[in-house]
Amino acid sequence: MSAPAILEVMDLTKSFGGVAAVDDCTFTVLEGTVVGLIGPNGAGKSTTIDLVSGFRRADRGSVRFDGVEVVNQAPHRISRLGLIRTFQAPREWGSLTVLDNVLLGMRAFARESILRNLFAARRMRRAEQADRLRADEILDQFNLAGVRYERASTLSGGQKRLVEFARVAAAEPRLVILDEPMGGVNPVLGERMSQAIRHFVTRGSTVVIVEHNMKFIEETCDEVIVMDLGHVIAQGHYSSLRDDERVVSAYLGSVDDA
Amino acid sequence: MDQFLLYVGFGIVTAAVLSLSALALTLEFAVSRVANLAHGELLTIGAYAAYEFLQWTNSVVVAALGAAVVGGMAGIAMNLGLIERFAGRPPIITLIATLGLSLIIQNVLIIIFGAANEVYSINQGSPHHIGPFLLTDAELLVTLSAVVVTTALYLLLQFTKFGKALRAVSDNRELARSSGIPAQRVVTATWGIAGLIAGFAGFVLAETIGTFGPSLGFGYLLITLAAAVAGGLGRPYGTVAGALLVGLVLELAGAYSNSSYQLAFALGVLVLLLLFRPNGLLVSGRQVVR
Amino acid sequence: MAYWISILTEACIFSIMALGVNVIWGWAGDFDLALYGYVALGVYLTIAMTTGPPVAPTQYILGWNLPYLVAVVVAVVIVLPIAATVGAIALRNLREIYFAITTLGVISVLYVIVQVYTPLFNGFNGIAGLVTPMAGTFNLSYGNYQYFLLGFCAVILLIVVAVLQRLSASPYGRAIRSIRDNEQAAAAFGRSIFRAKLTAYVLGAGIAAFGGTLFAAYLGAFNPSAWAPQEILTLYAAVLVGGRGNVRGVVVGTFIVYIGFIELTRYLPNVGGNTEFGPSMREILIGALIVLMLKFRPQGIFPDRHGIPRSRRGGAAGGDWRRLLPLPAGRVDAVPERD
Repeated sequence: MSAPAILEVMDLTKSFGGVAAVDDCTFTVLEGTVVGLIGPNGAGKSTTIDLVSGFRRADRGSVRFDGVEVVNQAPHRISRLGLIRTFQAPREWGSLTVLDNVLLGMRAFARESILRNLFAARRMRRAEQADRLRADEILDQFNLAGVRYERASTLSGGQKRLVEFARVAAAEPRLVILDEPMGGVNPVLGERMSQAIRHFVTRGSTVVIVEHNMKFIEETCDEVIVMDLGHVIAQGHYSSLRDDERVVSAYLGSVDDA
Repeated sequence: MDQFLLYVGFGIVTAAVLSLSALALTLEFAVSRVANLAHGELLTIGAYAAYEFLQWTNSVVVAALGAAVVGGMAGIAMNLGLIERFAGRPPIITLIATLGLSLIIQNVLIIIFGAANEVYSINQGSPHHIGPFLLTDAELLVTLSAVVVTTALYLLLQFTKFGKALRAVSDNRELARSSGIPAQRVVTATWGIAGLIAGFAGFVLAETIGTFGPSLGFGYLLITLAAAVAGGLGRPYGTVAGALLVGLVLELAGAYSNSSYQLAFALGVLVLLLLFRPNGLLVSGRQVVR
Repeated sequence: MAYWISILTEACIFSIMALGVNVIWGWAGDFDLALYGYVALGVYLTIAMTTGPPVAPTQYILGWNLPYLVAVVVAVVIVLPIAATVGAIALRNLREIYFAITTLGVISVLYVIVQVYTPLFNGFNGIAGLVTPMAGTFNLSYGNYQYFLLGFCAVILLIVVAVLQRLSASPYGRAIRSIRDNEQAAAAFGRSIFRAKLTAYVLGAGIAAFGGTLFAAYLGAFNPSAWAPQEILTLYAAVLVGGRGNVRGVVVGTFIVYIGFIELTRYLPNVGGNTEFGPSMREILIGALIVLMLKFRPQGIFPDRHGIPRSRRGGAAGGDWRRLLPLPAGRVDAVPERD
């Protein structure tokens, strides 16, 4: 009864100055699941998602997204196929309003052409009305309605995280990769983020989360992929991995120390 | 072949002057992370200072020292007056500000000294054959002085406490500060040294060209940038190699085509380097969003 | 009176050029130093196309005796692929200081070539011969002509402002600003950074060249001593004063800079009989204006308010005069300076 794979990573490898940051990394993410990608610092998680999303060029290996080979494609092309990623620090479009940040998440690229905006401005504006209504819903959902006309750069760190989530919600991606979404976030906001992630899934997205917060991973993820030294060393349910010797030695042990 | 070697000789002289200017620029970048577009004006100030000292004392040595000292003071003033005040701002904003400063200095110099060109009255000496090269006394001295300055700088960076501190500040100013290095003083001193070298370079440049005016340094900025980028901005050790490359390209291009197009060749080198070796000849390229 | 007419005409023309800067730097966030080269090409090409073939010893290309308005279109069309080539090289993977250095190189080389390669635009001596274009068509006397030219430039400026204003407020304006604010996030959300930046670059260069064609009508003659690569700084000063990204603000900024700073310095006395004093003071003021604006009010007098509805802007367009005061340190307002 297993769902089809949406992301298949095979033998992905990337070295920096002779040191392999990602080394024959192979894993599969099934559609409609929430998957945690964990591992100690320097395990190659960040590089892996950079490679998957096209922000870095892989030395070799394959990334199939929804059945299509995307390895070493430009980031915007991969994004247009429906794979959206976030970054460790929120990267809001600071001079734009929160509303505009969410509208940009909707990715109505055809509406951004210079010629159409000059010669069919009214049609463009009408077409955007529906998007604005949906943006308002999303802003309400993330408790951002009160700051919709504030510039994103003026928000607090937590609010910026919410804007990032709102942007992802607006994009309705097939797959979203969240890079440390809990970084610098208080527990109350964390609860809202877990909710949002479940909401992404009900709206048809698959979610990959890179995170150090184990409690968050345990509560949110259906499955966990553990990386160490550039390889995947284990994949499975969180509870089953807790007893896995390789994982304990590579990872969980080091967390207890910290 | 002889002809070719002759131009290689001129290329080495050009590279000597260029390496002084580029070393100063790269030192500025190393500690402040800004491409200083007012760097050329440090050279111009040095050239004018040398001119005044030469008028006054008629001694080339005093003129050279005067250029360096005044250049050093100008470098410190530039850092404290402008660069430090833009600390923490995006590098490109500081870059624009330095371009504004360049415009200010050039025009202050015009008001003080006039827009007309000046000439040093320094005897160039007779040309000698040195190996395959044909160089005047002055050109020999210029090259020699560049070697001395470069060596001194190398020793300073490599073997002194100050050099170690400078490298630490260059890597990460905050980290250097928190590990007890007086970062602010190191930065100021580095700008002083960069100014010393730039001021001297201005004198040497004006001397080799023969005449100079208020736009001397600005006209030399692009070539300096090409050499510094070739060596890797902020990496003093690569800069001499970068200066040699650009210097040779300039002289050979000038020899085998219209010398007015030298700048075009310098730009060609610069663009190729930026496209394929943005971190300098010795380091592989970096990645940006495609 | 005639003096003020000519100054206002100039301010209209420079406003158009500054609007070109605003597209490239204000919207797309690229600090381009080559832009005045496109202005100069616009001027040269217009003059070279409207005059007849060169008479020895003068040399220049074209010499087609074209009507002025046709020449304007052709000149802009010629500049576009040149700008596209420069942009395609410089924007592929160079940013920030490296982009600035490259474009500085481009304009420096263009300047040298125009000076030295005489067959192009007659080298140092430059070209001349565009006298009161369109005067014949509209049957204008010499006395009326300068009023006509002012009106013509003003109308063109209004059209350019209207077009850019529409773009600025549109989804295009939003997308291009998002690329300026954070390139990688924009790429992560599907925007092609290279294409968007290149498009903006060519658009801005085209507007600058268009400003150049008007400048040709105003000047009638052009040579390398009439322009220099540093000319671009006055345009940047204008954009900084007006408000980076804000179309109407940039026009106001240009009028302030050109009339307030440049023309008023004409009345400076020649201190100690120094004829360089006045013109040099003007340049010093421009440099100081750039440094001080960057330091104390980088968002300009009329900050860009893209996406903020009128009802929340406080008063008429940019009319909140308290905003003229420098902001207290630490408060974040307007355009963050990520380029």
